[in-house]
Amino acid sequence: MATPETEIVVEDPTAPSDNSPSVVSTRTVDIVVSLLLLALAALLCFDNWRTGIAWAADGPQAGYFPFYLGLILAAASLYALITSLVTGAGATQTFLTRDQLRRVMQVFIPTLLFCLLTQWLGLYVASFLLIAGFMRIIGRIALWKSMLTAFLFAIIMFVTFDIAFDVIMPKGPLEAAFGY
Amino acid sequence: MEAFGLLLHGFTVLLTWKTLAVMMVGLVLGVFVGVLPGLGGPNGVAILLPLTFTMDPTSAIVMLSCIYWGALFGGAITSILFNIPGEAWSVATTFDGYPMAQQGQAAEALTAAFTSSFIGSLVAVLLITFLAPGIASFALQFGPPEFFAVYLLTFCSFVGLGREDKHKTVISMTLGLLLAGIGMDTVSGTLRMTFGWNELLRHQFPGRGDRTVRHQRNSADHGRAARVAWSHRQHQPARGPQGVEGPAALLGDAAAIVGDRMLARYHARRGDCRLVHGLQPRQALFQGQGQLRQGTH
Repeated sequence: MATPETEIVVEDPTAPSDNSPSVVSTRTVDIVVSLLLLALAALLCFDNWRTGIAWAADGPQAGYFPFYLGLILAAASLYALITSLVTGAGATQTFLTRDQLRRVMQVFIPTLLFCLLTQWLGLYVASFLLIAGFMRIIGRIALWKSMLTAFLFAIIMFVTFDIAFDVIMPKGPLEAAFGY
Repeated sequence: MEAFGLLLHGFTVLLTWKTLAVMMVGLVLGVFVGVLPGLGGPNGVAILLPLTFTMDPTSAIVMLSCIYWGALFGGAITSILFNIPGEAWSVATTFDGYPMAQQGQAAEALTAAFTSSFIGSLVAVLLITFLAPGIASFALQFGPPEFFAVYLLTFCSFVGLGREDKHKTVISMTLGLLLAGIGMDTVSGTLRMTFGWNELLRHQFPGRGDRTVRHQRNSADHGRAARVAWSHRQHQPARGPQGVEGPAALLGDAAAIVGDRMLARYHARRGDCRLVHGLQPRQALFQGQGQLRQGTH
């Protein structure tokens, strides 16, 4: 086996800087996530208990298996909650800095808008807007390139899903105008 | 040596230029499917199924199986280059492959993955061909309790072998299994955890239900609709009759990916390269197991 001669270093000029102020510590995130998981486990356990967790004549009832999974989930998240509360592990550790948060939000908010717009405008128009907007605003790519890429992408998706594979995707007024 | 004769007969059927070309196309498509994370072999086969509508049965089956085999290798590419397993079964490749790629040995890692994938599948196919008749009678004794025991062992070893906190592994596993349980219980047919919300029932491949509706609508195309219906029937058993085992296996794997990616990150952070020498046997073992598992399903 050849000895490594070159090391690949990937430079990212827009990478979040390391000294950006911390938004939230790992301990806080641990506690919040454990609480959410605990709530989820309680909800699912309750629903499964309502469905039936007993052993019927023909085998386990529908809620039997998920109920016990929920119990295990609750136990594990309770353990996580107690360890972070008692030991305070990760209290000084930064989970997320402000720069990183900004970066995540730059992707999260457009995606959220995309999901909402899909309900009204249909998948294809919404994905056109998402791609064009992303390339133009965040990527700072020339307007015509962004529009062309987004347009071609939407058309290819439409041909692939709606025409070739007969998968019906959510559609809006524009598609209706063309009779689809 | 009846099996050997059958194997040779298979080769005589397959060794034509047309079939080889179909294999080539299938493998290329399969590699694409495998490279895309989240799009696995079974999904790829399901999506590319319409391509085979115009083919004769032999070419169609050759193509679909080649898509599957291509996906088996394709998953390793992203595992090695991006530390993201393209497939559930290439998770193990991230342990050794990505650290190698970081040292500039990506080509060696890809070659090793490809070679071990090839040897693993060859051995698996040969084993299945010659041992299947013998195993068949034994395999029929494998009922739900045995399957449960095997999966329990799998999940226990995830907890035991993972280097992350044990409770985090447990959380991601139970979460995956619970998500798999949403919808219709395959044993009794009762709805569970849907809270009366129909959207939660629609977690299968999106086209399946809609396609039938569409075909009923333009019912002029009877032949094609019948074929789609047939392919649906063919597709169902992969998940259906084994009860919770099918989806649970998939989501258990998904849960494992989450846990194992953390593990792989950990290796990468520490610059842990002691695994390089153990690469080939370990990968061959993992991938061979994956293939055996796929083969017996």
